[in-house]
Amino acid sequence: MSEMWTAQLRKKWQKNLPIEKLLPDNQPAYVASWIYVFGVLTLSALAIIIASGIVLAFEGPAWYHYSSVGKFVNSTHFWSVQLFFVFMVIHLWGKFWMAAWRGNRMATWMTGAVAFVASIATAFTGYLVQTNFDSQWISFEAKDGFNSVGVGAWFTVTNLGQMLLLHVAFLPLILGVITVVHVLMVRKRGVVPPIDADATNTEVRS
Amino acid sequence: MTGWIADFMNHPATYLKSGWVQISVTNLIVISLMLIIFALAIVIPFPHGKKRVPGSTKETRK
Amino acid sequence: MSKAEKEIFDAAPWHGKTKQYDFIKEGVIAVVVVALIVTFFSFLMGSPDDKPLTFKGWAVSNSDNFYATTVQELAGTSGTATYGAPYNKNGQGLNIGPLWLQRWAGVTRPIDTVNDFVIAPLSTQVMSTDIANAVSTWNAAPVSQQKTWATSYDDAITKAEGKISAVATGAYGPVPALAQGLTDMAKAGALDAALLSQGGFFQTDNTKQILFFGDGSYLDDAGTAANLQGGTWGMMNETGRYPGQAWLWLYSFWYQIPPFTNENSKPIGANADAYIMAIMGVMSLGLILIPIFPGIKTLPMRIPIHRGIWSEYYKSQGIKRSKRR
Repeated sequence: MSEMWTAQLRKKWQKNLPIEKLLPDNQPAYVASWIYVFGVLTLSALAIIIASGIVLAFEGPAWYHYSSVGKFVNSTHFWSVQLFFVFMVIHLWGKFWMAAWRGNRMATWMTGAVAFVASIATAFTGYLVQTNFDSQWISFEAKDGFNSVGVGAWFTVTNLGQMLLLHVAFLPLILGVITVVHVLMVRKRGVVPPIDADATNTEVRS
Repeated sequence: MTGWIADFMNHPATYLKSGWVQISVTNLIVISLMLIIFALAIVIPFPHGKKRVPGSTKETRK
Repeated sequence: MSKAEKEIFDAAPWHGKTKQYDFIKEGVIAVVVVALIVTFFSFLMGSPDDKPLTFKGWAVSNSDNFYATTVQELAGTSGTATYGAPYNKNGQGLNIGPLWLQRWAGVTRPIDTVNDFVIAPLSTQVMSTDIANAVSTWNAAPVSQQKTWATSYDDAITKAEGKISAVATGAYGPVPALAQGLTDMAKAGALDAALLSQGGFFQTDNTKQILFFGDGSYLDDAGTAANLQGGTWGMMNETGRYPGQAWLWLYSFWYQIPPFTNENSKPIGANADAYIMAIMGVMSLGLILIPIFPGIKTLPMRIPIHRGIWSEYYKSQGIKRSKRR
C-alpha cells in the first residue's frame, strides 16, 4: 500500500526545508558584503507598506486627504513604496552581478523577477486609487495602453472600485505568495557560492 | 502632518533637459543615490561576524 | 573544474567555512531602520496630493472649451465618441500587424456620448423651459437631423477657433441651448455627481467622468503644467518635487523615440501604445529569463563586479580570478 499523502508531504518538507534552514544561525563565510542586506531591506519596506496600507484601508479613502494623521500615514505609505523599489532594484543589480541563478537557482531568479513585475502592477493600481489629480491623469493616460491590446476591455483603470479592490486585496495577495515562494527558495538552496569558488580552492569546514 | 518642507515639495519640479532626454532633479537624485549606494555596498568592508562555534547547531554533527 | 562540475558545486550544500549569523535579529534591525527612514521622510516632506480637477473648475475657468467639448460629444467627434472598443464601435482601435486586439476584445464598457454625457445629466435636473424644450426637440428629431445640427455647429466652432461668441449663426437646432445648459450645470457644480450617479444609488465607476474630462483641454493642460505628458517622460514623473516612478523608465523611454513619436507614421507610430505594450511584455519576459540567454548570463563573469562583493572571501582563500568565462 502506498504511503499516506500527509506523511509524504511531511517527509518532503523536512528534507527540503527543515527548521534549521528556515531559521538558520550560521551562513557561509562568503556572505560578507553590504550588498546582501538589500533583500531583507526590501522585505522590511514591504512590511511597512502593508502595515500603513492596512491603516489606510481601515480608515477609508477620504481620511488621508483631510486629517493630519491621515496625511501622515498616507506619506508613510508613499515613502515606503519609494524605498521598496530602491532596495529591490539594488538587490536585483547585486543578484545579477553575482549570477545568483547558478547552482539550480534559476527558479529563485525567476520568482524574484516576477515579484518585481508584480510589484510594479500593484504599485500602479495604488497610483490609480489615490483619488487626487494624479489618479485622474494616470487613469486617463493609462487606459490607452491597456485598451490598445484588448486588456482594457476588462481591466478598467478608470473604474475606481475595481482598481481599489485589486490594489487592496487581490494583488497584494498574489505579490505576497510570490514573495514567500522566493524567500523559501533562497532558504532551501542557500546563498549562491562565489563565481570563482570551486571544490579545488574552498576550505573544508574545520 | 503635511511635512515641514511640504511647501517646498509642492512646487513644480525643475527639469534637466538635453535633446529628447529630460529628467526631474528629484528623479536624478534618486537614481544617482541608487548607483552610489550600490557601489558603496560593494566596496565598503562588511564587519567581521563571529566564527561559528563548533557544535552549536545540528548541522555540525555530520 | 569544468562548467558542469562548477554547476554541481554551486548547487550542492555548502561545506566550506561558515560564520555565526542571527537571522531574526537582522530582520528586526532592518524593519526598525526602514521604519525610521520612512517616518523621517514623511515628517519632513509629506507626500504628493494635488486636489482632483472638477467639471466646475473646467467650466468656470474655460467655459468656451467646455461648451465646445459638449458640442463635440453631441456631434460624435470627440475623442471618446470616436475611440472604438471598449467604449463604442466608432473606431477601429489599434493593431499590431494582423492582431486587432482592441477591437476583438469588444465593447464591454459602452458609452454613448450623446446621452451619457449630455442628455441624461441635463434630464436629472429640474430644467428651465428653454432646456426642457431643447431636450424634447432633440429627442424628437431623427438621428440624421441630430447629427446635422451638431456637426455643423462643431464645424462652425472650429472655424471660429473655439471662441463661442465669434461663431457664425446657422441652423444648429437645439444644440446651442443644450451646450449652454450643460455648461451652466457644470459651473454650478452639479455635473460631477450627475455623471457618476447614472444608473443607481451606489456607484464606484468613474469612467464616464474621466473620459468626458479628457475630451477637452482642461485635464490635458493640467497634465502639461505638471510635466506629466507621455512624450516628455511624464510617466516617470510625480506632481510637485516628489520622486516619481523611476522604475518606469524603460516603458517611458519608447514614447520618446521615433517611430513611436510620430502618431501619423504607419504602422508603428499610429499604433505606438500597442507596440510599446508588446515590447515591454517581451522585455519583462526577457528579464525573468535572463539565466537562459548566452552572452547575458555570462556577463557577470566577464565584468567581475563579484570580485568586489566577495573580495574578503577571495583574499582569505587565495582565490584568483577564474579563467572560465
